[in-house]
Amino acid sequence: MLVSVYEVVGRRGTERRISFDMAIDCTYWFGWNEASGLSLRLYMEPVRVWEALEWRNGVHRLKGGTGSGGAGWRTITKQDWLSGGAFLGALCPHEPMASYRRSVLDGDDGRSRPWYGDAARGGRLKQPYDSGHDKHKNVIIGSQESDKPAPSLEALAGCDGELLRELMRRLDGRRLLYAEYRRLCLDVGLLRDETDDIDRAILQILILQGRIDLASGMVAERSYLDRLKQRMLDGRWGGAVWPERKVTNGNRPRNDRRKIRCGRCNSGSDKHHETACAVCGRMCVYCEQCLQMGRVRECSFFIVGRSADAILASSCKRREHDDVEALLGKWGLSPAQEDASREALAYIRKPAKREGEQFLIWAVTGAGKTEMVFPLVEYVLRAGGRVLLTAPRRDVVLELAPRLAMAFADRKVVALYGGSEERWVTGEITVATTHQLLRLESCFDLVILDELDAFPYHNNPMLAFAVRRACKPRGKTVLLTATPPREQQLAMRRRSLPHAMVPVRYHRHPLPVPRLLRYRGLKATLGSGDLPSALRAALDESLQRGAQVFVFVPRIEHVEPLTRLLRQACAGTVDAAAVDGTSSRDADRASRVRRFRSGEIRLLVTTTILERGVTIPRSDVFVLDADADLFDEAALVQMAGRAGRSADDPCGRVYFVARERTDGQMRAVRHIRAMNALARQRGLLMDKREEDAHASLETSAR
Amino acid sequence: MLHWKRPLADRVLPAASSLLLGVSQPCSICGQRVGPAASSGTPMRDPDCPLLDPVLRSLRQLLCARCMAGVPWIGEVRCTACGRAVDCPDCVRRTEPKLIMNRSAVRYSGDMKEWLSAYKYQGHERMLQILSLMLDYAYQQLVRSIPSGQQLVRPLVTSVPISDVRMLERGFNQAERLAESLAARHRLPYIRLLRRTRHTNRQSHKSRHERIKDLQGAFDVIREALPAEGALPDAIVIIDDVYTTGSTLHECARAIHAATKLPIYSLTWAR
Repeated sequence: MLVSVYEVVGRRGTERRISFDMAIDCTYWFGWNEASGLSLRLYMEPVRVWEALEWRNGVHRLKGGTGSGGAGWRTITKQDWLSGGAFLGALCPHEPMASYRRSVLDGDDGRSRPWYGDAARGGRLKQPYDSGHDKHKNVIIGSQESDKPAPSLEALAGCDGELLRELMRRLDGRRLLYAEYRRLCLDVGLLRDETDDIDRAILQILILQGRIDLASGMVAERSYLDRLKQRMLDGRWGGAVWPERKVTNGNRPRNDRRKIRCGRCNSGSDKHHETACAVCGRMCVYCEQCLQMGRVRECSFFIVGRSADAILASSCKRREHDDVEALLGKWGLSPAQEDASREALAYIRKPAKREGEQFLIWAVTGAGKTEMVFPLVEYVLRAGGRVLLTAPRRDVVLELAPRLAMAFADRKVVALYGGSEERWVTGEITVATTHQLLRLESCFDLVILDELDAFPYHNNPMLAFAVRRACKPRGKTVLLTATPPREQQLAMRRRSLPHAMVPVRYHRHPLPVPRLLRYRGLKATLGSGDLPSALRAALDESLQRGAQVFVFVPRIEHVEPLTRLLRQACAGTVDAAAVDGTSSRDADRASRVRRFRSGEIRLLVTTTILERGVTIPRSDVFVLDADADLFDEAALVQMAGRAGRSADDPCGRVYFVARERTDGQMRAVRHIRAMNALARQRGLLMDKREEDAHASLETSAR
Repeated sequence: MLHWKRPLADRVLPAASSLLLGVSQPCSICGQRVGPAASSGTPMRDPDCPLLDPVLRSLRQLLCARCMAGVPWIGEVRCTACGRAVDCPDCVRRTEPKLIMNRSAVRYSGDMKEWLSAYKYQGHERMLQILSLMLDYAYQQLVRSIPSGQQLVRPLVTSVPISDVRMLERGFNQAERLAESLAARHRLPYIRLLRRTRHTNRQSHKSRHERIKDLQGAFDVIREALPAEGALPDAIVIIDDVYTTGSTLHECARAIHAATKLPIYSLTWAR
């Protein structure tokens, strides 16, 4: 993609700028701004975007006067601009001008775009509207209002104003490749079809308005000293010459091939691959880590929508929504949930001291984590902020989105996941898989990260980076988990991570403690084709009491043979169709899980894919080969957490069936016991009398 | 003061483990580990063809056993003209073909479609290594199937061009990359012989008839690129990624034949 580059030369200094459409820039500088003493130095050859960005950041020098035209730089003054057509003709070697010329001079575009040179003769056009942040302080001198009618931005670009404003709204906090930006424009309705090229003019307006920034595809890891050296070499040391912009997104210098990171997923050179590139005409690196979201090359660029600062950052004025108890009251939370919510709210209301602050809610499985965050969501929404709920897995997102839509009926809830219809929509509440966050930047005031210990988020620096970047610099992050990873556990112990514990389920019954069963191991069992009698008895008992049975196995290969064996073994209790198996390789996984939910399937053999996110009211859990390496403490606790989740059947059964006792199993049992003990100590469990009263109430109700 | 240790350990440990345990890089397709443990146990002789063995041996270093097993190699060619593994009605219908023979490495199955789209549309260029290895098998087949009278001694390798629009969009020409790596492997000359005279829309959504009509005169020989009269090779091999209806390759062959009168063959990765 080719762009023009120019310098704005004002009385106080110069500023380097990139343009996708010079006509817009000329109108902006000569029409809306005070023009006296201001001129533009235009480089008379079109330049590739990466070159332009490097030039802007002072890493790349443009050739003085060589090239096809040999024209070099040319100074444009207001007089040139006022002269209209002739001036346009002179600029026309620039590709950005071609479309403009077609529409203005030849009028074959079907879209009339006025040339404001004529309208502005003798006066200054009014700034269309306040863009909020004036980036050009160092070059603009003074201002005066004029009574000339202001040309509207949309007329300048030849598009509908309402749609343009909608585009601005949707670009807020996004970080898009050019192709994605075009798709967004199409989705908004600004482009008539795939071939429409008005998006360049629109892009330029947004850049001038300070609504978006350009960033290069790959980011150089430059040390502070490097930057300092560069400044001195360029003779831009101190003074007003140095622009306010930081050189954080500068491309790497030509000779350094090692220290470069992907501008989207932040992965380093071990995830990059270098090939010859026809777009930039040199060896060019692309990122393999986030390839599936559209390729990021060294020569590609990002369009970054700027969003307002975090609303939670400022020290809060007393607002009417500060009434914490009212916020907490309306969701019907249990006392334990309410305590955790209150603590989290206090954390959110405190202005952030530094960037990237986090709060962790450690709530046992089935504690009702989602409900706990409702008050937080409402607080931020009422303050006018944007909220993100994110989880690493798609099924969790699909489950969360309708629940939020129901709880916040009057708010716009958007679900983002791979293949989501709402990819280009902006909502007040966003529910997204962590992968989708790679397309966002400083977007949310409150980020709630669910299941932070789950695959693929756990131990994935790319996704951690994405979550961090999606949050505004002074925004808040709340982490939810039942089994915090080691890192967070240590941080909590060191008191560097504020947290709240919810050791009891919402129905206030203790967690079912796993029982340990010994057997010969899965391989031997499958080999002999005979189920150990103790296991068979336990399974029969579960099925007979009417429970749905989860059977977890560590390996996908074991799912099918075990399903066959269990069909035979349980033939006396349930018929063959009610015993089934699923794994990540199963194409019908969703339908099998649905049938399991509905009770059509009574016993489901599965791998760790169902270890979380699935809630079955009356269920028992069998973990076979619980001594396998794959089943660590967290996985076992999660699987055990599938049992006894409803108030009707709070005492589901959990069996760890293994050849030997392993550290993992013992830790998991200890973990569950410790949680129950903590709940008892805090008096959160339903006591015996209460329980009886509850039971009698229920029987009488029936 | 301690944190220098970490990157060092990160760098040394994988290297050491790969030395000691023989663990190699992850599978280029699915990211699963490729190792002796993963690849042993599955019998891997798909079509019983001695030409395939060296290719399989090299591929095993790059792919896991599961991805390897999913490759539908074309073992026995049924249509000698286009190298299809099944009988082919298209070649019977074609009059005066300028393209003498095509050979392909694999059938264009669903899996292979995914591979190609990862390479071509997603731009996963590291896969070139795999695809070009596989194309080598097609080349071996071509060499073997040419009758002894017309030997393929030093053919000239060229590729199907893509339009400038696509080139800027994609950043590379997938056929050209394949051709270059094949040429490098066998030390054959590669020349960019063709160009597109116009930008045609994607062929994959069109019927056979539409394709033929759409492509007529779409290619043009770059005269300056042709070797001098005396230095002409004995044959030309055009490379493309997929042979679907063959209309692209036949159109290219027609253009080249008009300019050079040489025998023309083609190789594609998939058929």
